[in-house]
Amino acid sequence: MAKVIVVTSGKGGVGKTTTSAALSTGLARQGYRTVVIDFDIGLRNLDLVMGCERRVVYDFVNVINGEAALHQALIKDKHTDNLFILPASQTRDKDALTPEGVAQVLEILAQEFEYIVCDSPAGIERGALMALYHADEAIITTNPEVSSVRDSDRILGILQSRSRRAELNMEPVKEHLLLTRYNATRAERGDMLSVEDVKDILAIPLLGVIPEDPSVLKASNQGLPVILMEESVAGSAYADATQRFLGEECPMRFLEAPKKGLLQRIFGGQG
Amino acid sequence: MMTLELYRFNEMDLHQQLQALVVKAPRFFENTPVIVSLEHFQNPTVPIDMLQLMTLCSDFGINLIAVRGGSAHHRAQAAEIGLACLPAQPMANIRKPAVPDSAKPVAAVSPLHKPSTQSQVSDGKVDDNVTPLHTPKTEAPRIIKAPIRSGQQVFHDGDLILTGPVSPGAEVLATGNLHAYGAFRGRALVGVKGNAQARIFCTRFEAELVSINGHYKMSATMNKSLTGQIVQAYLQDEALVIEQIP
Amino acid sequence: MSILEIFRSREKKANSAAIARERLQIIVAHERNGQHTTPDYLPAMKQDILNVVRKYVQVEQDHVSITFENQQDVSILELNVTLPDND
Repeated sequence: MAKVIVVTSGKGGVGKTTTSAALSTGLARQGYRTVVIDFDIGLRNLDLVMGCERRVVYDFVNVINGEAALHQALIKDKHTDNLFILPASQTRDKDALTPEGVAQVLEILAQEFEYIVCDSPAGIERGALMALYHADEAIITTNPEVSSVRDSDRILGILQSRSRRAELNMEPVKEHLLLTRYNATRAERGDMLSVEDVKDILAIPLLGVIPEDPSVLKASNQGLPVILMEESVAGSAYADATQRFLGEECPMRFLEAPKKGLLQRIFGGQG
Repeated sequence: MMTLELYRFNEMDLHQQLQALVVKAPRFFENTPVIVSLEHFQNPTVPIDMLQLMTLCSDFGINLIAVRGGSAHHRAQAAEIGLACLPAQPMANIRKPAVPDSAKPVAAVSPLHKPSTQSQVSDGKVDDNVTPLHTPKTEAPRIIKAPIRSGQQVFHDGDLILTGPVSPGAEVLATGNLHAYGAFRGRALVGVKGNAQARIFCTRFEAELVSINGHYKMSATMNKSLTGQIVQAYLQDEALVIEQIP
Repeated sequence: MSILEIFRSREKKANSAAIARERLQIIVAHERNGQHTTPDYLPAMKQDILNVVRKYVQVEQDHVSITFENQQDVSILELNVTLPDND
């Protein structure tokens, strides 16, 4: 039975698409047949982050409207085996997503894939609701920053009241906190909410902490999921988070501010 | 608590009315929490732009916290932008029992003359040890284990017991008492159908707003030393007391 | 690609940004066309053409490019198929 994972946050720009690309790549690299779906209709981005923007022929909305078969719209990832991308439409608006249409597409995908990763748009409107509705598990992507934390809290409330699992009175959606753009030095100085602060407020289990890392930008520039930059801090943190998601014990790294020399290697090395 | 009775909503008209009020009394509102009553709203099917209403009010220093009454549609709109939804007040006398008891003639049971507790309060001498915390006829206590998140509202006609945390921007309303065992960072409103005996107990108090029977305090006006402490709130001589439980 | 190589060796920092710029130029130009002038059937036609080509030669999806241009009263459909080198 396929697992549906939504990557969501409420707030925009916190790293949902980066996370969707990294996590889906991570799962596929572990041998799981994985598909990642861009739910951001009208503002698609996942194709750029995954580096398949020139291979988009049909999209999610085409499939829902019966204008293309699902296998025509699925793009095979060129970096990773077992991984497919279902891009969003760039020309329609988010009303093009219908609950029935999304349900049908997910049902077919569930027969072929083990993990279905849904990259949610920002906000709490239709697109975001569609993305989270079918979720079995949710990755709550949060920056250590007040507005992001509050928006995450809001989306957690919506997950537990408006998801399919909530509506059918099933076991609730399993929630995971993924703290992104974490800067341990600033947190230690008290200039940034710490991991503990965010955990305390959101009260859900921590899946991982992804440090602020210029590699994320470099990776997206090239259309490469950052998890494939294996030497990078963010890439290794995503690899760890994937392991934890799959239930393996994996100690948290990068929670402490790097020592001076290392700091320079990481942040000053490219300058 | 101050109530804004809304008969119809037209931004220009309301702006003018509020302007007129503020001209007369410039410091009339000053970040006052206000409930908008929709009980006499003329046309329940006409949607209200709640966000516009809230923005307009905040321009005048009015801090909308809840709507009272109104159609299901209006309440949904209010909930959408994070306002609490209070039940409509029963006609005139707000202290009518919540559940009409057909066995007894209404005139015979005047909830205003509840046993001993009522007289004690009016004497101004409340003894903590003997004040029973019973509320008027209500449902059994409700226990909620799940966290209550920003934007969510919980209402219970009776005592409410929360074992999970309550986030900032969440609202918890009870006609009876509130017991919160997780961190409480949201808004707590108890005795919302009229009950001066209702109390709030928090094991980790960080509330944004506390209100008992319409008497409220915002976090900005609370004693900072209470933050994070084990706290109870109750009414004494019509004044809201929030104090640490030793 | 060779120009990029020069960038790469001289200025490490410009490397990924240059790739990003190039990718965006392509995609933005493509989408601007798409928004206003290209007919809806273009993606489907592209797929069909690709299928026909694939009957004879194995080509990748991104090796077929179709552009559609409106110039006053003429519409120009340009099809560009990059065939793989014969080893």
